[in-house]
Amino acid sequence: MVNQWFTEIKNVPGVQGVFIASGRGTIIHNEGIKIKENELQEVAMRLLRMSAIFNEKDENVSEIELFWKNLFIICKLSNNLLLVTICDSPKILPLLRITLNVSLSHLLQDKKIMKMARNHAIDKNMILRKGKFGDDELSLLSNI
Amino acid sequence: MSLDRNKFLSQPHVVYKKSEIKSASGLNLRSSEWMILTQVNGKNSIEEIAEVASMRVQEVTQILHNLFQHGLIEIYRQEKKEENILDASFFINIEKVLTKIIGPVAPFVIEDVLSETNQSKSKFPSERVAELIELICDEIQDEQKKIHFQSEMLNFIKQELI
Amino acid sequence: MALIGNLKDIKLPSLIQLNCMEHNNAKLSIERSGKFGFIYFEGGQVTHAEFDPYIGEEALYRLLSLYEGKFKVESDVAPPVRTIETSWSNLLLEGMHKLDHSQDQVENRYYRLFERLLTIKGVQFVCLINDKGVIIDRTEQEEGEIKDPNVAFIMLQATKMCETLNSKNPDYVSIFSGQYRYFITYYTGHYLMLQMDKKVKSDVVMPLIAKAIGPEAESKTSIKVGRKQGKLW
Repeated sequence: MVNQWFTEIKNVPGVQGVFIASGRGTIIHNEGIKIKENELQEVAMRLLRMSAIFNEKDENVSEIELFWKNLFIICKLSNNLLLVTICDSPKILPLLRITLNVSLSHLLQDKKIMKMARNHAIDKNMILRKGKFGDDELSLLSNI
Repeated sequence: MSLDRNKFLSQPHVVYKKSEIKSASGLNLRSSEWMILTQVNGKNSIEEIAEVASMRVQEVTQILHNLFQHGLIEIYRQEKKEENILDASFFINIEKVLTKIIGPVAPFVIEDVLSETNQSKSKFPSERVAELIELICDEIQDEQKKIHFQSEMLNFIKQELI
Repeated sequence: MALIGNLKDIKLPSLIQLNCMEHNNAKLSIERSGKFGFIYFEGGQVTHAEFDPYIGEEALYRLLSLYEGKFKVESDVAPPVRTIETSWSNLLLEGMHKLDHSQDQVENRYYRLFERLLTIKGVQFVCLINDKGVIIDRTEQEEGEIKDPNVAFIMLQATKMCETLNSKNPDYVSIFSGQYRYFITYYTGHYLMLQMDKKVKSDVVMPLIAKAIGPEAESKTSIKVGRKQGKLW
């Protein structure tokens, strides 16, 4: 049932692959992305830190997008879950966004996935207080 | 069924396809009839076949009439379909689905969105259908209703775009 | 009855031209970041201007550099004194000329860029931030509070992500927070952040931002650019 939604996303023209991660950055499922798991975890962690900085200002981030000339990463965040899609070019971006919204709503109802997400959850307030940070990051965090 | 030849002549945009029941092998067709038959593929209209064959529409129509009478071809599409324009039935679907979700204001929301994008129902480009759905979603305040609407429309959108 | 608005929507030169050509006797008050300026019209000319600490023509030229600010036009208000004799058309010509040659002044350096960006539908606030998180310049905030969501930290995360993926820094980062959409890109070695209406769509607005920024956009901060081919393409 869940696989149907990953297939739905992968069938959107331009999509290379998709993965989901927990609020701690643990990779729950990877569909089609040929990158090592520890590197995907690093990607997830960076996205979580970007979103966490908004929590400090009581804003709830639900979407992060990164654009390059020939690459596009879109991350949807909800309920301790990250849905990250990598595309070679967003040929049909509105369709991709709608597909992601619908797919995420179904994934959030999947018991197995949500159990894994809960088991690997973290208090959002701890994302910027726990883990390894470089001096450059710590210096910027002290501005908060 | 015998068709009035005038009806053929008045519809140069009609598209035919080869019959799945009867094959032309074993039949004596003229070379022009064979050539026309090879152009019948469910995509080319009478007008387009005439252009490829360098023949007048009337001549092509006559040949197609004969092929039709032999049962070798069938009508595939009669209405002139504008390239890349959203079918009117799509808007009926959107309105039906949206009314179910947000109630009787649905038609007004759709009109507002069309007006903001300087578009009309009769000429809406099909490649912008996902964008249209997103814009309509922006007018729905409730998050669950937004997802519900996108979910219902997703298959329709994919049919237009993929 | 007063006419009120924002210079974002009606440019000051247009307001001046309007009041002069209609021979209005009026007082135009402008407020930006708590500072007030005044321009007086009488008999088809500008006769007095104030913009602390300047008065007269200098005050008017300073006011012409504002691309945003609340304004109010009140009819039949006489100027307290006459400090300007130059005709309104020459004032505008001279004012625009000074503006074009004032790029080195800190307060005007990003004037044109911000002006262009504010014309994009949905853009509410623009600021330029260095990699230490210091705001270099910004447009006016509605509520007065600076709303930088720690752009430098966000872009540092993007840079570190790119290190992992062996890719270049992204051209744009867009973040949707439910209330606003934030768009961040690079500009002359700094981060340029736009706070936008939540309904703005990335693919629609990116080409407009690129056009507004122009050729200065390509300079990117921090991490080395042009590393070996990335893992994703």
